[in-house]
Amino acid sequence: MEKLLEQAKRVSEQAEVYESKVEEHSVTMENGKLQDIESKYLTIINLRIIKDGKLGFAYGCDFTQRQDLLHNALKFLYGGIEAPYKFPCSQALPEFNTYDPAIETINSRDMSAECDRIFDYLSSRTTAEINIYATTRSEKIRILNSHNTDLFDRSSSYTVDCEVVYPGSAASMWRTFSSKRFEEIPVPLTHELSQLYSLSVPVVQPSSDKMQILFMPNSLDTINWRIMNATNAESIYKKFSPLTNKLEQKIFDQQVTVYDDPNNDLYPRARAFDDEGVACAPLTIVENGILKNFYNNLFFAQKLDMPATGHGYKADQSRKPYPTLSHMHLKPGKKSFKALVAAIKRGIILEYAMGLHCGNIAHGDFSVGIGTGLFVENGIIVGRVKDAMVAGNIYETLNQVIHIEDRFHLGSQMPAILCDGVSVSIK
Amino acid sequence: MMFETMQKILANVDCSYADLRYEEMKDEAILFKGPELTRIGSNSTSGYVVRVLKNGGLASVAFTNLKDAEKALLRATENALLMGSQRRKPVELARVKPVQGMYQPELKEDPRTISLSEKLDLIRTYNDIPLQHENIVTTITYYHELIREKYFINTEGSRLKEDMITTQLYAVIKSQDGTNIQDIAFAIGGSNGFSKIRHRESLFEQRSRVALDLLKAEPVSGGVYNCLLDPELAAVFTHEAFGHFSEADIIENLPALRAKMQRGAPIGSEKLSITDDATLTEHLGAYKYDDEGIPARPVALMTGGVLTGRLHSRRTAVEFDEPLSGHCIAQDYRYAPIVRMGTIFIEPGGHSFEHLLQDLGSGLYLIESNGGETSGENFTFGAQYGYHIKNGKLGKMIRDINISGNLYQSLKDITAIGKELVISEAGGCGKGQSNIHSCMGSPPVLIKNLVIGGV
Repeated sequence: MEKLLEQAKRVSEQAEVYESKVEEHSVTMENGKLQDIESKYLTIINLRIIKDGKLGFAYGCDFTQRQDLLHNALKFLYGGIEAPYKFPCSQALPEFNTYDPAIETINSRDMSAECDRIFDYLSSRTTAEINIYATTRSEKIRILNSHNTDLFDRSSSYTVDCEVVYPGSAASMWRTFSSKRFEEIPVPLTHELSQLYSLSVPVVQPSSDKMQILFMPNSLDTINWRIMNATNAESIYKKFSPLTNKLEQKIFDQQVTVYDDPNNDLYPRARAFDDEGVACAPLTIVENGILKNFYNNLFFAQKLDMPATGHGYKADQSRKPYPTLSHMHLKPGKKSFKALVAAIKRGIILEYAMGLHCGNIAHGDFSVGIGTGLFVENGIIVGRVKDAMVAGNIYETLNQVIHIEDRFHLGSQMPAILCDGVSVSIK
Repeated sequence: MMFETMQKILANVDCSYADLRYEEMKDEAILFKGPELTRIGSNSTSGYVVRVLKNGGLASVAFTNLKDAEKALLRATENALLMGSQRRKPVELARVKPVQGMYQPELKEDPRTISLSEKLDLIRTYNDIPLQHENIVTTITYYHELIREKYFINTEGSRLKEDMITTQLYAVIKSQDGTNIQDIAFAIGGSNGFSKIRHRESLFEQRSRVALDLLKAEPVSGGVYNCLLDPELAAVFTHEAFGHFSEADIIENLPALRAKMQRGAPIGSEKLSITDDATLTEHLGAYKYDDEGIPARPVALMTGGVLTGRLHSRRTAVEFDEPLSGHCIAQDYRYAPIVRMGTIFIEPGGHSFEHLLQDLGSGLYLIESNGGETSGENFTFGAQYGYHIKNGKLGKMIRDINISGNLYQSLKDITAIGKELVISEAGGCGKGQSNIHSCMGSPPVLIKNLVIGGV
């Protein structure tokens, strides 16, 4: 990396080299059968140079091809793409507990045994077909730049998805457990999954109406994507966001607080710096319904004349860092999950929504298919709905919040949220 | 030279079968966001995927550095042994004859022979077209050219090199009037050369007009409607409603669903026939050999509403005791191959578009796709815009249209099929790993009782 940086510095005013090395192992169990075992050992290298205020960018996966990387980055300069920012000089950043060395000793046999254990638990309590996907991942990231930044991050994670499938349907419910280390999935998580499944086996066909919707963590991206889009510095800069001039204004119900916390190392993949080497810190986006902040990367921070918030992340190996709320949370409220369900007079527990990318995201509109939805009447789960859609606008829906769950829902980093007055169309 | 390197890697593996795929990927991209160029240039990456079948277990490892080859083989072998020891039924692969060959697609203008500056000028010309209009506030115009040189060997003696050359232009045009923001997305391109990217000025003009018209369109009201789907939307419907369930690995371990999806089962309307054909070289979904070295072939998936075929890998073909189809594909060197659609389409029927409108009577005419998703028997797909239809006549324009369907019902609710098949130039499928080559087509299709979301 150092050689590449030196070569890049000779042909530019600023240079940055980014390397990510990933080792990943996954085990797939389908209906009790060990179906797939895959491993990956992948490296990606990115090079950015800034010369005369213009950006050069290239990516590859092998330092022996330094010349090609440099050549491609110089070729990128031909486009005259603006780079009105300086790479940071990030020193003495806090260290977080992100890596468990024992992850390197976990093998597929260990994961397979845990999948077996989970399968036995769920199959003894449900009539479901059961799929389990377990993955260990360790990643090393290093960023060097011409301002003497030399940052290193090492992280580990273990993730297991437990899916209960309704026989004959292939529709399903699932829960995800994530940790920095390999450990048994907590019993309450699988217990809840088996309970909700058993209550939702009968198929019901209520009439279309405006209803209460309990957005579960697996369906909350319906709302989260629209919040992220509206508070992203690019949307603000280009004036697409309906929130462009609404800092310090009330946009949601006062129960709603949205924040990003990359430093919380209780959870996997905490970060001290983003993919541009900018220091990360917790950032409140919405506090008690009031819009507080937007988030950016170096480019849009400069364009909006605001401090860099440390949210420049790569979505893919081939992309430059882009503003991303990578550690987004909704602050828990005051009611237990049981109380949320009990509060539903007529509504749906939306376990999973389909087609989140459809609809006018910039405007906050959503119109999503119900992948798995549990119909509730007078606080009792009656059964499961099919062939149905939920539609609304987040600026209306999040102003009709009834309650928010009092903790992050089991296995996730989001609470469930109960909202009123959402349109439901059912065949 | 590369084949020799690959042979050396596999030389000492002790197993009943192994294969090794190596890919060099080169891409060239040009991206405009509004008038600003935000990306231009070329890059290359490469890597390997090895699969080992041993004692009835099959495992795979992907790696980018050659020095990790020994570690990868060891891991693949260990994992294959573990799988074999844990499965009641050993993994078997369908028997095939070894294949040797080198394949290059026939191209109408090889994009590698066209300079970056010429491409930039063309893309800038296209990008400028919508920006001339008042109320068009921005664009995304993204040209992406992907050259994949794929090498494949296995321990049965197969040895293949296939180049896949894809040129695609993806565009979004955004219009704004006060707080009302609308957009229209579209794509052009294919797997047979740069010529498909040229001479598309009129398309950009037409799309700009639609983006502006959308500002005056009304949001659709939620409800259940009879609908006429245009070819592009019907193509996505095919992919989401049925295509995924024709992939053998999706239903393989879902016994109740698999029992319903036996060949010979009546799944759809009698009028409905669906084919997957990755040998159509002029379309995005084309390839010669899949990533197990099996030649692609057309597969009649549904005939007159009856299930007649399925898409397979070597493993699932044995599992289902059905013929091989050549549909085991990986996104790139970072992934092991899985069963994927190639070019799936509804076969043409006999009706003119005018006849379909008359047949519809009153309902919705829905146009172009905004993507879709399948979750078990339920699926959703979005239309970019549409029109109310009353007494067979076009009425007001509508927007914000998302549609829900159900595998067991929606295919049976097809009442008529148009006669002109259109294969979409837009492709893509996000099953597990992305696949830009998965494409789809259809004639216009009349379906009753579709659930449309809306406030």
